[in-house]
Amino acid sequence: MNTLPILKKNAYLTLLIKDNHIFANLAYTDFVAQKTYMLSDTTDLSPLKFRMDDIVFNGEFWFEYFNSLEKVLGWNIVDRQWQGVFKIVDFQDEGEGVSGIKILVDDNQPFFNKIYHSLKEFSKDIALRIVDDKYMKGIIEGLRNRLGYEDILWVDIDLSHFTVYRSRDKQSSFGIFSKERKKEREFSTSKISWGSEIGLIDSIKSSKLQAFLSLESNSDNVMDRWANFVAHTPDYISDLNVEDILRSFVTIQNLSIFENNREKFEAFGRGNSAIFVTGKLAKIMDRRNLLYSLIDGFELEGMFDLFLDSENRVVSYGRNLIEASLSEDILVIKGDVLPSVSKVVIPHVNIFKGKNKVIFSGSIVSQDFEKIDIYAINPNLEIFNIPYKSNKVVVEGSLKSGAVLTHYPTTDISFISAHEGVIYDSLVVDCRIRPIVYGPKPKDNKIKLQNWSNGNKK
Amino acid sequence: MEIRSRLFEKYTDFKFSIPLKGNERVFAKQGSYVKVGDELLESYISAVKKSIYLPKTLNCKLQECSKYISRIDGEYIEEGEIVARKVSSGGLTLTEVVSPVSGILDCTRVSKGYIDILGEEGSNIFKSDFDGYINTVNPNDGMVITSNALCIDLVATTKTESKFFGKLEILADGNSIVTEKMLESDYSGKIVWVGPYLYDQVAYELFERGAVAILTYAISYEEFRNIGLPVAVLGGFGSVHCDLKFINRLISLKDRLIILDGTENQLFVITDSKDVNREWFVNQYINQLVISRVPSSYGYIGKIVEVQEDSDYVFVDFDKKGKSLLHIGALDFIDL
Repeated sequence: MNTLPILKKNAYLTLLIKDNHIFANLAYTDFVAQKTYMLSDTTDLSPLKFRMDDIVFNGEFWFEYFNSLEKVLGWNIVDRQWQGVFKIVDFQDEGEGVSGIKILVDDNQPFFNKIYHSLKEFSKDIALRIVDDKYMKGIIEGLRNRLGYEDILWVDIDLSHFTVYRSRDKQSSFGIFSKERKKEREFSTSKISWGSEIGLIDSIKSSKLQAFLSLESNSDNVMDRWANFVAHTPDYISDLNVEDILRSFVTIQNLSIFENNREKFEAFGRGNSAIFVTGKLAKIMDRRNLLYSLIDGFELEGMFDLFLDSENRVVSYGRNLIEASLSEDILVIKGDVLPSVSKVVIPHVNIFKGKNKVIFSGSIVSQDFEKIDIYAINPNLEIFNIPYKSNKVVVEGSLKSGAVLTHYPTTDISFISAHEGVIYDSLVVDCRIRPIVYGPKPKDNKIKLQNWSNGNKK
Repeated sequence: MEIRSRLFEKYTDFKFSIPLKGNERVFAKQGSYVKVGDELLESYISAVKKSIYLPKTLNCKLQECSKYISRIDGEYIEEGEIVARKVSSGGLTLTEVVSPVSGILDCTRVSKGYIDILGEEGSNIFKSDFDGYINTVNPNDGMVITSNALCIDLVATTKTESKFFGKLEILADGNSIVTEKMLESDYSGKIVWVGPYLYDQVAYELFERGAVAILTYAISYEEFRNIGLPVAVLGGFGSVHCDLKFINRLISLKDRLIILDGTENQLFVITDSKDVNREWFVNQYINQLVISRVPSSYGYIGKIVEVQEDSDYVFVDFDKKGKSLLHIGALDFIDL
């Protein structure tokens, strides 16, 4: 029996070059056998950051890259019959060949032209695309339709570049008495870029950033450690001082974007909303610190889904996900492309005195495990892990002690984590009293951060 | 996938320029090949008898130094004569700089804050210690040569100029922390490796003795920002360890011609190294050379001896420092 073309086995490789990293994602699909997955690899090009305009990106480098990638992914990609000419092995079966290779190059990537032209010269078998604001607009607006979100905030946080995109429907009035209303699609972009590493290092001396720190940054030792972090940007932070500076730094960047573009952030979290977070800092930051910097930086309220895409799968395969069966390269499914997601609930807490009041109580129910009771108390930012095996998981509960989501008519919160929809790995309930006030001194922040993190009551 | 950082990367056909001041006698011809030992040029240099650092002496900003100089560049001055004068506090305070020796006043380094008193002129024949090809020789571009080089990445430079050219000088054994007392009298035309750590006082003294630029493995970030002189940092900031494996390789390049490129953050050593760099990508972790970025062992170079299954942690053997269990993300893979 003949198989429909879209159901045939297929494998496709997409590389994304962004912020001195190469993100490789190889998608494999066999819909007849109901087997689909994605293999990922990340290569940090930071050791080459001063050499990118020299001799590095030549054919030899790219050959070596694809040879190593074959070993890492366990997949034959390069056809070695053509000596010195890069050709791909046509897709035959699982582990053998790909139907195509696409390389996306971010327009903020240092030495963009050098890299783009080296790839253009390297092989005619590779499709090259540029990731710019227009590309991102297409992805984000498409995702809104595909995933059913009314409002998407996309936050890309890297050391030198902070970019925020937002796509939503906006009501506008028209007519003589402005009585007629229509829905309009709105897409906005906000950015901060740092020109030099020295400026970035010096930025921790700013009084604005000092207000968010929980350590004294005036000492030379702290300054030196931060300078070393900026110079080498390791993929793992083992220094509490640097962690604290990074949390403050990301918060202040987000806050600066927010304060300069308040109108672009208004009413977020009131409808069916989601935040997608990408970028190196998001990958290396502790999840709790990342939440503080996002929630406090953008002064978020309400309820939304938080996707943390450290492998950049959504940028790489977002178009395929949106186009679904019309996709020319490969048909991918949500479960393979979408990263882990957290449900974030930020209610308005009406408690002015005392603490340790229950703000949220609920349960996690599934056929795979016994019912788990959960409760969140103020002033904590609680993170509950949601286990998932194979059956659906239902999370339900309600806000207590007068806490409300101002735009929701009810205090009940429930959602389902399932393979057919979205698999939630955690529930975050922010029980801190608004407005969130930092400072005035680092030791005050230290106490507050301790109070906010006494979480996870099961 | 991990990429290997080539601490000393071989560059073939590297093009560089030896700057010409105009008073040199050039022996090498445009379009010719030069070999090790060939005479390139004869330069006439006056020995520096004394250098004075004006920002410190006059208590003024680096950018303001030139306006306080009261004598003409190239003028002969006698011992005891005033060479710079600063009036402050509405004319109530007068600070004067008196020449400690007789000689010719040279203001070519005034942008770095120094004025020099020169002695007698002597000639110096510059011989090639490399094989290369002379592309052009002219007063604007200097002597442009193509040769092989080693490239070393810098963590940061003060970027007071775009490029510095000189011979690599190693202070003491290259591994000791140097004090002012250990310095010699003249470092003219030298780019000086001071060792694992640089104190600003040593930097000022070196520039007073004619150094072109300073290389160090580490310096305090605050001092780095305030120094205002051409300093290149190869390792990091603060008290970071400088591994002997790195130092031994660097000091083997003593007396080589080097070009410090401040805008590119790179150091080029003109040498025809026989060493071959390893491939860029790391295919397996065991026995790979790494440099630690964890505070407790920052800068130590070691070998991965064991990988913890199903985790991102590996055991690294740092020789005398012993073995440590470290996260793979806090290690830089290197080719040394």
